[in-house]
Amino acid sequence: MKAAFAYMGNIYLPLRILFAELGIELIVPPSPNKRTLELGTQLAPETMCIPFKITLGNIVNAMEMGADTVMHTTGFWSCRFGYYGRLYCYILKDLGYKFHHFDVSGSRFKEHYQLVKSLTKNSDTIAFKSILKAMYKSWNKSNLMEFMEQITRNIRPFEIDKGKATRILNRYLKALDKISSIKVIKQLKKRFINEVNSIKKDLSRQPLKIKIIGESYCVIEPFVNFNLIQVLGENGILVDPFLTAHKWLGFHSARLGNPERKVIKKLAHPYWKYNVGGEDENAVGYSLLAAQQGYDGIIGLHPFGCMSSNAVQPVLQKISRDKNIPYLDIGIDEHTSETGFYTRIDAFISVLEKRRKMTY
Amino acid sequence: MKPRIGIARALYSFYHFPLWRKFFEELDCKIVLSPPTTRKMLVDGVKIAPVEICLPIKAFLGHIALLSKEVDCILVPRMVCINPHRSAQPNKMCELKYGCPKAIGLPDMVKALFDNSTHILDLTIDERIMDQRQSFRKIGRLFSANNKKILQAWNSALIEQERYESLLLDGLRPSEIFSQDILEKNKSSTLHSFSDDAKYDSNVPRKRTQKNAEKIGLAQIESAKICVPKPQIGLIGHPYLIYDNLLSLSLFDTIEKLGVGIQSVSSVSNTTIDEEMKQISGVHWFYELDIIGSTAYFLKQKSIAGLLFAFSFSCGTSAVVSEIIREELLDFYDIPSITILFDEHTASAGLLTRVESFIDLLTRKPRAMSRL
Repeated sequence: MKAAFAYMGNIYLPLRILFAELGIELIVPPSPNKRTLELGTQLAPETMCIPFKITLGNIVNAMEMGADTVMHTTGFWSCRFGYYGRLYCYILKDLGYKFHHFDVSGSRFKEHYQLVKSLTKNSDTIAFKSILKAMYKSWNKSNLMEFMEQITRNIRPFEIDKGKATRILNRYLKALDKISSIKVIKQLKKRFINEVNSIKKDLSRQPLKIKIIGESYCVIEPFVNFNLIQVLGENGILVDPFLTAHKWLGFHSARLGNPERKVIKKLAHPYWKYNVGGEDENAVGYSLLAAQQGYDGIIGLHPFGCMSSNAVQPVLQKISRDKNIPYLDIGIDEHTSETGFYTRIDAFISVLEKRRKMTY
Repeated sequence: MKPRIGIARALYSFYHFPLWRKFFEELDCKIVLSPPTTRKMLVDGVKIAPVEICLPIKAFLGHIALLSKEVDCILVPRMVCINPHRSAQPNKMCELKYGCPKAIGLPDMVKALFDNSTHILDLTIDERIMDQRQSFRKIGRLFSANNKKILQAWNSALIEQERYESLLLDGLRPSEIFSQDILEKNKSSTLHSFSDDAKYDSNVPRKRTQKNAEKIGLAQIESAKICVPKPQIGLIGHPYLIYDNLLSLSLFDTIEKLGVGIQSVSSVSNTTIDEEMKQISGVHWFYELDIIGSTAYFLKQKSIAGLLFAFSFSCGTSAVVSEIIREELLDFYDIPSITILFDEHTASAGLLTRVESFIDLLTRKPRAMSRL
């Protein structure tokens, strides 16, 4: 069984080993690029959101590379993310592909179990063991990936040799993708810490602190946000995205719950009562938290046309006025140009720097 | 002094206004309904609203801006979750239907856009937690301490809503019903007695609307003395768009002037919609059920020569619903269809051109003629 896979940041890292341990080969297409976007835009309905178009491009690429199964989630809540799978299937069928589709949403656990059992010689013991082992290994990998990404983000504003932390991160992520033993993962972590400690830093700098909120795909996937997190970091700004690939897996896929989520929900409630998808409740909650924690500014990224993000904009602007924290919102679609995007970011950073000078 | 409650003549009022009006009037409130959307109201709404949001919400905000100075509080509905099978408890969670994200966040959005002097009456309908009668009871307690009175108000409101829906099936437009208080005049035509668990379905048979439409068509033919049968098209879209003359740029009148009969979404009864939706699974947006169900129904009618879909640009749900309709319905029938997107920049000249060319296609195409 060869599963087609769609990108979202580095999520392929823990997922590849999860499926490999269960006997499913994950076909990882080229990471999102201009061609993926063109393909997705051509095939998708015009007013669908950009995450749909890019993930569709990825899946079609994966089908071209020999995948025979499409994995998708469904969900009966307000946002249209739950319909992605259905639309992928329509479009692939129209293109003439023969494929199976598999719903990976949590409510279908029995089906998942049956699938794994069929791949592991129809034995309950082996199936159960495989699932536990797969989850343990992928969780460890995901944790290390999150750790490395977070350290890199925190070091970038302080490094003297611009880009060094990113280069180290990329090397280690490549290495992490290849290993599958827990022992080696732990050794890799130690080596990473040593190497990162040896980077020359100027700790006297006082970088601006910016929170990035918005729709999960736009915040996590570098192709969509024009590599914003890396670029801002290398220009001396401490960037804190509210969501990363690891946290998305934890919040959404495994629903592990988190005391932080309860705090966010409680904070957001006076401003926004229901969670309608598209990370709107989180956007409101994390903005309030950022204001409390003294961040210099908030950048909100969302796909053009995202219903939930549009609905929550007035609330975020009110929070920005009430709490006196600058907020920049950018809607991204296939026509957004990198130059236009960074012009707005530059102007926003200038505003933050001037505000800082006025208060010091 | 009666409390004045403002209700916008926009969005979900086109579905539920008679219910709301009757309920609050029975609780000794005065209902102030905003006038039909004007250009100034739309411009005001566009200034306040988030840039990318759909046209009906921009109009709604314009209505709120107008009402905020005139009334004590404004009713803003929050349609979270609705049980479409009104007389029975749903068997599974997936049978419950939800509003679109903007419907769910509407009161929060309005609170953030208007200052504290505008009081919002948040009518939350979330049938996962409590059924509609209890939600109305909760809000009714703000106006009356008498539970019996609140229950009677709810019962009367349900009767009023039933009458409204039966008049819609007869082909009347919502704005006619709102402004002329036709409901008062039609009190004698109650179709069946009300009981607590009554369905919203009307007993008006489907054929009545058909006959009306055909009668009008035949009368026009006789007067024009031309032996060309009058084509009928199915007009599908949300009522708050197609029945708002300004937002839809008088779409109804434009089509009728071109000599074509219209059967719209409101002329399809709830029972028919439920029946048609049995074949399409997995759609959970409450206000889209009408759209898909009526499309499925119209495709089976030999009198319908073509379908015109009227959606708003940036309506998130319609992007998905259009695909579902195309793949699971339209592809199986040989019938012309056109989709027109509306936003605040749509011009009537462009709309007229598109509608005219579509109707030309219907009258000239031999296959279309054979369906008449």
